[in-house]
Amino acid sequence: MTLARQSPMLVIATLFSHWGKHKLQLATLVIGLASATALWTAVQALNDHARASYDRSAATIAAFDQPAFARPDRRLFDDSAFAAFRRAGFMVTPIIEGRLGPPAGGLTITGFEPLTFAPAGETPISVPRGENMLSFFDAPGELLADPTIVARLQKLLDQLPESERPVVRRQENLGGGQVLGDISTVQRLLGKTGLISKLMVTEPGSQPNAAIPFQWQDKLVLAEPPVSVDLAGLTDSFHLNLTAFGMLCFLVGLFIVYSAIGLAIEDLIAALRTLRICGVSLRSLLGSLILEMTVLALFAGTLGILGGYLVAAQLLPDVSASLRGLYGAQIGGSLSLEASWWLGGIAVSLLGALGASLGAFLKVSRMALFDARGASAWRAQQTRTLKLQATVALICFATSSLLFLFGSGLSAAFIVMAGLLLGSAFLLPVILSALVLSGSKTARGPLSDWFWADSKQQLSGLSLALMALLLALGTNIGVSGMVEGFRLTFNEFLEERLSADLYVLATTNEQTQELMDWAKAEPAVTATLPIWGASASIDGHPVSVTGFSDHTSYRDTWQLLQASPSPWSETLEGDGVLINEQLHYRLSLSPGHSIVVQSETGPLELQVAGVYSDYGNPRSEIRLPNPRVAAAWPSSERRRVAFMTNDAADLQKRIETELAIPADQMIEQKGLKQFSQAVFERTFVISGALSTLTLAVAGVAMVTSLLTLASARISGVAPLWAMGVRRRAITRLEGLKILMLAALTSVTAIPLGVAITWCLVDVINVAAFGWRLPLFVFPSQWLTMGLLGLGTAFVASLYPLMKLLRTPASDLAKVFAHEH
Amino acid sequence: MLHVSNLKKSYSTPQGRVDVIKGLSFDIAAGETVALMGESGCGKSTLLHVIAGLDAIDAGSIQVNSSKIEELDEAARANIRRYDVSLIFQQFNLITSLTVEGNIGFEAKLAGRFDASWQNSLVTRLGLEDLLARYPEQLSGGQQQRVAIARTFATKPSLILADEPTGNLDEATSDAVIDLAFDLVKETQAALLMATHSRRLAEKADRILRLKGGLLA
Repeated sequence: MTLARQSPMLVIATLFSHWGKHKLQLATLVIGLASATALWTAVQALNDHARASYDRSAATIAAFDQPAFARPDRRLFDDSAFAAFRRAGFMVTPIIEGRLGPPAGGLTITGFEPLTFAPAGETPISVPRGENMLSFFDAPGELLADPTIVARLQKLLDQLPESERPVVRRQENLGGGQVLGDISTVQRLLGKTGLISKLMVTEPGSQPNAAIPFQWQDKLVLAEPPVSVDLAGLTDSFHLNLTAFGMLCFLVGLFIVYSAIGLAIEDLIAALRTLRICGVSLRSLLGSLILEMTVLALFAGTLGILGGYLVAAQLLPDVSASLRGLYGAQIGGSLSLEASWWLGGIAVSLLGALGASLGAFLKVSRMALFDARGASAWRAQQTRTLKLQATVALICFATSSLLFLFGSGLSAAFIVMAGLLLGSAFLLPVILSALVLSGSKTARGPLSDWFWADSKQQLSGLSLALMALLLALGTNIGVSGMVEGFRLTFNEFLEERLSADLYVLATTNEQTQELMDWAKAEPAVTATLPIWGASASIDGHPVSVTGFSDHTSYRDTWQLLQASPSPWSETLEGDGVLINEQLHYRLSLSPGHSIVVQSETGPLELQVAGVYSDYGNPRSEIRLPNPRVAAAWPSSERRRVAFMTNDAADLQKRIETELAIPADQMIEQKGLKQFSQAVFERTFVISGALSTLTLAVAGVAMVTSLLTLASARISGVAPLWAMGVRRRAITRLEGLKILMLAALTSVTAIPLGVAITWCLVDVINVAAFGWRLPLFVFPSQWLTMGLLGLGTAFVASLYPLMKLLRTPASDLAKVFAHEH
Repeated sequence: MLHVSNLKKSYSTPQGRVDVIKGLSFDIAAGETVALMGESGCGKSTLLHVIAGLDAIDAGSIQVNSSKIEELDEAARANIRRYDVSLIFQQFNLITSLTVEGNIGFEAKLAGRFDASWQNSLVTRLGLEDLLARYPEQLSGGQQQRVAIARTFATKPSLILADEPTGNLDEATSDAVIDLAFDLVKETQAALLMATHSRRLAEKADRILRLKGGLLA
């Protein structure tokens, strides 16, 4: 039997025997592939989990968002209307909606009547039937709750006497932080016995032609459901952001794999050449290499998926906090290892491994069967590689620039950033090579000559790890620069916006009037600023309408981003309107543009008078004077009032005592700022965590590269030792070389980081969130990141350097020995 | 110049301890060329390594000039290599990141004995004038070995240890390289101990030492 015939097994055995002898290379490859898969899988898992939550949430909300008879002013009404409507032949079911607990941190609760409640289509709500219905009805009743808020609900209910405390049942499919209960239970909990919010139509197509019951004709109107917030659409940008981070981590992980495979092929090339000379076909050789990589990818992919699950479980609370803070989206439950994850993770691992191996496969397919040269022509190869890298960098930058100039949307924004990142990574070896060349001109003495010359030579082996370090440092500088800049802007924004001292949420519109009448006679109140609210649309685009009072605090403190010559007087006295930055970008509206707002009383033609910043608000918004809001939206919500006073605490106490408005419906400016800042902090926890993970993966890339290079370094430095340079001195020089390269990489990371900050604040945030932040730079962060880069390189180089220092003299001598 | 007395050296292997050198004694005088012959694995490289202080000995004594190698710590052994002993290897062991010129001057500069005119004369005699700006990878084996020889002699060491210096070269090139090296030894009054399998080259030396079974035959 010829070797060619039995080649597959022989080739595979040869390939696998390599890993047996080079366990470190194998470990590097598996670690790289597993980390890449883990981070990618973790991000995908978080995205899938969140999206499943949105679907549950949307389904829950949809069950109650049907046409309904309700009061135009949204006030509650007597539940006797239910019987009257049913007697008249209307297929309706009574619903009460309210909030349990304080306005900030409270829970939305909905009461329904299970016998007549029949949600259309698929619903996550399991209406109790049979015997279960009795315990659902009977006091103290039962509440069905989204599992994410069970603990918070229980805490609120614990304040009730035990006999009045309903039993809480987790309902896995319920989303949106919803709590549901029998209508009587919810009425009792809200203190609204006998009252309901609406009579929801259960069979919209089969209503009688008869008029609505006489006694309710002037009081109730049939209203279409409000335009619901599409959480999935709203949070797309957040998930795209996560995906981009996941992709970055994945790429950094692949750098490790690419580096390990490259080194392995270098070691294997002689054996592969021998196999080819012995008659193994190129096809068989490549097939075996692919099979080998597939086996390794399956193994590393499995480890990666398990690791990804752990990372995702660790990050889930932060992601939930970010989504709650940014969009009010409730994400919860526990992650489960689903079949789609396994398949996706394994596919990603396979594709990553084969993608990273492409270069190696190409090298094998092109290798000459007889290699006349002993030493590898590293210099010529390095020059070729540097030219190629410079070309790729230029292509990346050019793509980035073209998309910045002519592209639009979030995907284009991310490609702009990806181009910046990849272009910089490919340009790094070219920059480092030039810097090292300049450094070599300062060399004095033989060791100094060697230091610079060897640094240049080592660049080829270390460039992938240094690229990974550059990406990680650049991303960290960029993201932390954006977050810090946002923090400054946001704090300034809060100072500007929260100029009132006490914010009160009245229970009803009537109570608001009572509160304002009371405040008129109150000398401690220096200004009363009611804030009316409504919903509207512009060309089908939903917008929130917020009313404001004619008070100097607005004119004096609000910095408008763009404005007509006299925005305030145009808005207060003419047909002007102020729009938020989000609306400005989404509908390309600027001062001077005309818009038609669909109001309750018909189309309202307005002129854009100014654009204001509105950080943290995912929605588009317009601001009009309160009287115009009240006129165009008769059913507008008029429950929010802000007061200016010298003693907010005293005023709060007196409102509570004299007007019976609960303390948890009032918040002082200081408290509101703290709450907003806390939301802000949690919002960026996930970005921080992911950029730190990227740095950790870059650290791993550095460690693995140095470890795999360590044995090759021994033959590189042994001639110096043979010529009388002490090992301690060689080790010091080796360490210094790595630190020098890491330092140069860190310095290069600064402009990249600033470019990423710019890209985030000027391109991505605008596309994703609809606001543009001013660009701030933080040199102290650069210093921290530089030190972190050096620290990473130092820690990564410790073991290889110690190994070099402690290599027995007999092992070093073997470098020169061809026999004993 | 070099005095070796009752030298013993063994190695641990998976099969047990192997005594490579079992008690060698010999001397080499300044300006003398000595060839070391023996079968593969008889311990020629090991002997050169222990004389250079690259590896420790088990027993006996090695004296280079006035220094007893076995009494020196690693730093002092490094100093011996830097100032007194120079090595030439079969694989040339040039520094791949430096040019030919950088390689030739490297060891001499390390020892603080760099002499530009002496280096120029070596370059001319070894026919390296046109290769100074090249890197080792751009040279043939013979050219690389001539660079290694130039590097060694540029330092003006008192003892040169050459381990199969022509093992990778053809016969004509080997002859040319060895003739040049031997001429330089005479000129600089260094001592040369050269391990070789080539009887023809060995016969060019002043004396031949034959190593067999860990002892001189």
